[in-house]
Order: sequence, then structure tokens, then C-alpha cells
Amino acid sequence: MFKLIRVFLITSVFILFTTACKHYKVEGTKIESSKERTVVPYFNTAGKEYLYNAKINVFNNELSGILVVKKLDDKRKRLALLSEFGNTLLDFEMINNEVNVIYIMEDLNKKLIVAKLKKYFQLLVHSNYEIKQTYSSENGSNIVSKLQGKRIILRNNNNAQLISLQQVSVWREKVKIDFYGEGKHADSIHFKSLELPVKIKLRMRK
Amino acid sequence: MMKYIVLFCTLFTFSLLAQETKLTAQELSAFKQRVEQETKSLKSIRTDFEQSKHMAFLSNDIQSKGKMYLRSDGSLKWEYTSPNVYSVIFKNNSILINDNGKKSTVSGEQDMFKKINHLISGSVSGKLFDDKEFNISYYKSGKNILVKLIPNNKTLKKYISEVNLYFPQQDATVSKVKLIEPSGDFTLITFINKELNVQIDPSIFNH
Repeated sequence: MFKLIRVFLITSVFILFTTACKHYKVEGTKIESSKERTVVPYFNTAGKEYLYNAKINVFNNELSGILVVKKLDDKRKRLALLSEFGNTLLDFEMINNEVNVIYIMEDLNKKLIVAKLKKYFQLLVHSNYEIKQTYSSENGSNIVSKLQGKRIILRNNNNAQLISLQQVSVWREKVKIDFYGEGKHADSIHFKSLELPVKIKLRMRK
Repeated sequence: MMKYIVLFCTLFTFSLLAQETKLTAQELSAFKQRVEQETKSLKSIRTDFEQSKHMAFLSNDIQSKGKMYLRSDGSLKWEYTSPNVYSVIFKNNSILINDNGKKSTVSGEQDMFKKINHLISGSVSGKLFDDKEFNISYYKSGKNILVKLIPNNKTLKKYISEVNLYFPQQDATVSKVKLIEPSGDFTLITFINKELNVQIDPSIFNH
């Protein structure tokens, strides 16, 4: 009986180790890139005001509101989340790689929440990435970059349109953002955190 | 020289338009009496509204439209029809949300929700004037009487620094509500096609 349990435990630990500790692998074959940087087309026209209806699911609590993004100049972007009634829930300014809190409502003003919100919204609107590696696959290309020291994978389809952005650790995916649109316009955006139960669906406001 | 004269005249006209003068004691008493009388007999309000959110960093305000229903028992429905279909009903200490068909309920027992409901329904009906939670001042502003409410309550102060209610001079009910946030950004709600004491189908307040 003990021998059976021992075999079961060893097998379980082995399976756990081989599956959980698998390195996150970028799809495709590594190729040389002639470019040093890549630019995300969304939220990147200076002066344009981007308005999205936002459905946010946080720890199974749903709330809806309006997300506003504006690229003020080459270095600065502003992002605000409002309730349907119009009151400001948060207001961030991104300057290069820094995120400054202009305002955040008291209920959200907790150190961990602010840190996560800064990270998530920076991932959503950051536009300029250094290309570390490029992989080519039958579905398009994958570019590996870094933001705030974290590994970022930008997936382009065969038309060189950015369709998703992931933040991954050595082992697993942490955040995934899917973009649905054409050219410089994303009609809808789906954001999913795999480290916290947070999902955000954005639909361009008509 | 001519351009300086034009500039001066323009600025002078604007300063006249924007001028706010405090109501005299007589004017204030007459205004309060008028609103009080109207409020006493007020059973219901049904109105369309246009909402405009102003943020300093945006060139264009964010617009929404909808309908608002208020009954004297305190039931309030705020129904957005454009660009989103979204409604919130404040009723019997509950907040009922219908987000494009997806329904949810929030307990209205929380202090903050009570204050929001009180503020919205009180602003629309003009019942806030004797409220101890606000520091209230009265002005003439163009063709309106402007009532400025500054919250005394610490919690409310974090979200709203000032509420401005605009009453057309001959009207006893509010035509515009401006909710100013501590940053200076504001939401302006303008009521149009306002109907008082009309029969409101009770099912309007059903979830």
C-alpha cells in the first residue's frame, strides 16, 4: 500500500514539475530583424481623443464606464476611467515609461491596486518597444521586447497588424491584450490578467 | 488700436455675461418661497437630459443622453439611451442597475449611495436648500438663479467639491446641474422637455 502511495506521489510531483516548470516558449522560428523598434498603432495619434465603453470584471464584480485616452505629444499620454454618471474613477498620465497618478478615487487608492492599475493601463497604451528578438510563424510574426523589466510579446498577423500583446514571465503568461481592428483603429480590445481575476472589455464609443 | 478696442469690448461683454451677483435678502426670500411652494405640490418629474463631461485635457466634452424619472416617494430612475443603453434605479434603499439587459442590484445601505441618491433627487427637486450637509449661497447669473452648494461632509468632499444648480428666473425647478470635482473637471446635466406632476407608470421603476 505504502509503495503504491509513494509511486503515486513521485508521479504527481514529476507531472507537476514537468508541466508547471515548462518555459514559456514564443511561437515560431527565430529570425533576424532589420528594425530596432516597433510601434503599436493604437492610441498613438497625437491630439486624437480615444473613447471606449468599458466593461470591467474585478473579482467577479462587474462595473461599466468610459475609458478616455489621449496622446498629448510624443512623450505624454493621458488615460482616465469614468463612471457612466461621469465622475472620474482614475486619471493617469504616462510620460515615457513613467506613470503618474493625477487622481484615483479613495476606494481604489490602495498600494497594490494602484501598482497593478498602473501596470495594466501602461501595457494597454504604451506604443514604442525595442525589438529584442523576432520570431516568424505561419500565422505572422512575434516580437519579443521589454517594458519595466518585464518580457513582452507582440503578435502581428500576416498583414503585419498587431493582434495581441502579452506580458509573460519565464514560466507563464501574466497579462494578455487582444486587439480587434484595422490600421490604427482598434474597434474592441479584450484585456485579461492571469495573475488576478481582472478582465476588461473595451468597445469604441460611437 | 482698433483691435485693442475690439478685444476690450469682447472681454467686457464676457465679464458682464459671466457676472454673478449675490441675491438680496428680498430676492432670496422670494426665490425660496417660490421653490418651496412648487416642491410642496411636486408629485413627479419626467424629463429628458443631456449629460456633458468636461475634462481639462480633452478638446471635446463626453456626451450622453437619456431620460430621468423622479417620484415624491424618492424613487429615481436615471436612464441613459445614447450612446449606451444603461439605467440605474434608486428605490427602497436599493440600487438596481440594468446594463444593456444585464441586471444587477447593489445595496443602497452604504452611506455613499444614500448621499448620491439624496444629492441627485434633492438637486432636481430643489429640496437641498435647508440641508445641513452643504454650505449654500445664492446668485443671479445671466437669466438664471445660481445656487452653489459646497459639501460639508468629508466623504462627499472627496468626490465633489461643488454642486451648482441653475434655476431659470421664472421657473421653480432646476434646469441645469453642474457637479464639480476637486480637480476642477465637471459634469453638466441639462434638463429638457421637463414635465411636472405627470402620471409615471409604476413599472418604470421595476427592474
